[in-house]
Amino acid sequence: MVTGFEPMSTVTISAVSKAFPGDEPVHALREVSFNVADKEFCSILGHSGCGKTTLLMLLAGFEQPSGGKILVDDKPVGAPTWQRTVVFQDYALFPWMTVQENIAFGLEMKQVPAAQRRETVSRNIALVGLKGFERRYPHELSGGMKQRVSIARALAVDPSVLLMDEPFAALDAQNRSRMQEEMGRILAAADPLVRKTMMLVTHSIEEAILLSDHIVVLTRRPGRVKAELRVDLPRPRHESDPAFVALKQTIRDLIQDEYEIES
Amino acid sequence: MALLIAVWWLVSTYVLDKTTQALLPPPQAVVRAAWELSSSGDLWIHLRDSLKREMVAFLWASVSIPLGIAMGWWKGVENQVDPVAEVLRPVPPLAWIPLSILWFGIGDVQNQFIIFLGCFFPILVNTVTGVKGVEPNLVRAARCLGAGEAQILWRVVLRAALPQIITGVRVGLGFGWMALVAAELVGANSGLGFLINDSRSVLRTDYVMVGMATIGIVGLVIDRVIRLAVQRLLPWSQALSR
Repeated sequence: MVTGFEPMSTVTISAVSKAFPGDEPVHALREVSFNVADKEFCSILGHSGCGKTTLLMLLAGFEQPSGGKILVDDKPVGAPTWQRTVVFQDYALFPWMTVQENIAFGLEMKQVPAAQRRETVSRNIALVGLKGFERRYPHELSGGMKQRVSIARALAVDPSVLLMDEPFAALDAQNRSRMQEEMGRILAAADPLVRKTMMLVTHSIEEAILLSDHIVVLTRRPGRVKAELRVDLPRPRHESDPAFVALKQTIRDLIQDEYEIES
Repeated sequence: MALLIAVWWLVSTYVLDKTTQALLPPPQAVVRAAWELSSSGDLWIHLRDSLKREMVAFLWASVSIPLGIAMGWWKGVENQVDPVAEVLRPVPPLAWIPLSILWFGIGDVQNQFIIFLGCFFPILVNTVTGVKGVEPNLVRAARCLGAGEAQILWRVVLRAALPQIITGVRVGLGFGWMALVAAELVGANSGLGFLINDSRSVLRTDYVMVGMATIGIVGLVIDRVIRLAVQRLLPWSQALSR
């Protein structure tokens, strides 16, 4: 699948620590190490406050680690760039821009010519199922639709790594499972234009199994790698699949002491 | 409103005698005076002069928008400018009138200076607050989509802070309008404030009241026009604050 012309995007996280200084320094992460292969979907699973969002912010380049190294394609992560876009839990859409303007923003920053920009925007709008909503403003959309815009905006610039910070956590249960399914559909399509190295931060075991090739479980603060798992179930995945249920139980048992049981 | 006018009419017509009535003319006399002043064109000339001063001063005062953005964005700029602003801000524009007359003499520049002071600080304070209140994730989103510092300031920070900046403009224009009238009372040869003071010296209280009413109505209109413009031009900000 990987040709010589495809950009490789492996992520190497080695002995990364992060402490926030203060009267009582907060150690968010301690010596976290793992690798993410090119075009792999990797979930970082952990309890709230385990530093998983901090890890994502380090990956994006919004913050610098206090110790250790993060490499993307063997190069240290520097300032934020369009090569590592972020989907935020609160969507972070520009409220004064329409759906298509939001999605076009990164393309304008990249100085993509107008015609190509229009084509990319409409392709991504179609991908996330928002045809007909191009001229709407974010405040006119539901939470699920806003998150679709946010995903389309992050994909449109063709990043090498897509970072997602609990993207579905703010949605109601019904919308959440629909968005998870659609994300699964996008991944199952495996269109090389769409498929990226993806890293998802989540506290939902189901979400992680549904979407991931690779799950990294973090301990409570300070976050450390508790376990790494491969998920080889065929896509699209179903929660009722016995193998799914078994894997869920495995993860649950594995992190029982770290993680409050959810279901 | 109707009750107020009724009481005013009753008091000035039946309670006051001929001498004191000169101090509180009945409503119909004020309406007549308004007609006289507007048909002779005097009212419009004064109004035009006042509005012109307000506009010119406002344009000068809008330098507070880039300054406020710089203060809200770069800590260093704020550390330098804030102490000065904090000392000058509590000084009412009116307290500057004597000094400004000595500096600029009687006339447009002095008046504009006073209005400028009235406009400047509300716009500055609101701009700084607006910039500091920009959702950090919006800035992060723009950064990871490839926006540079200048693009972030122009395309994200300015836009996100715009509703708050416009609130500052509204308050500033209101303050400026009040300050303008005070400045014109003592330091002008035209304008609504001058009209009031000039009429007072010849005891034309009906003209005084026309001047006051015009100031009130115009102030209200300016405020409403800005509100309406925000509703039309920034529908998203209305939706957010709802």
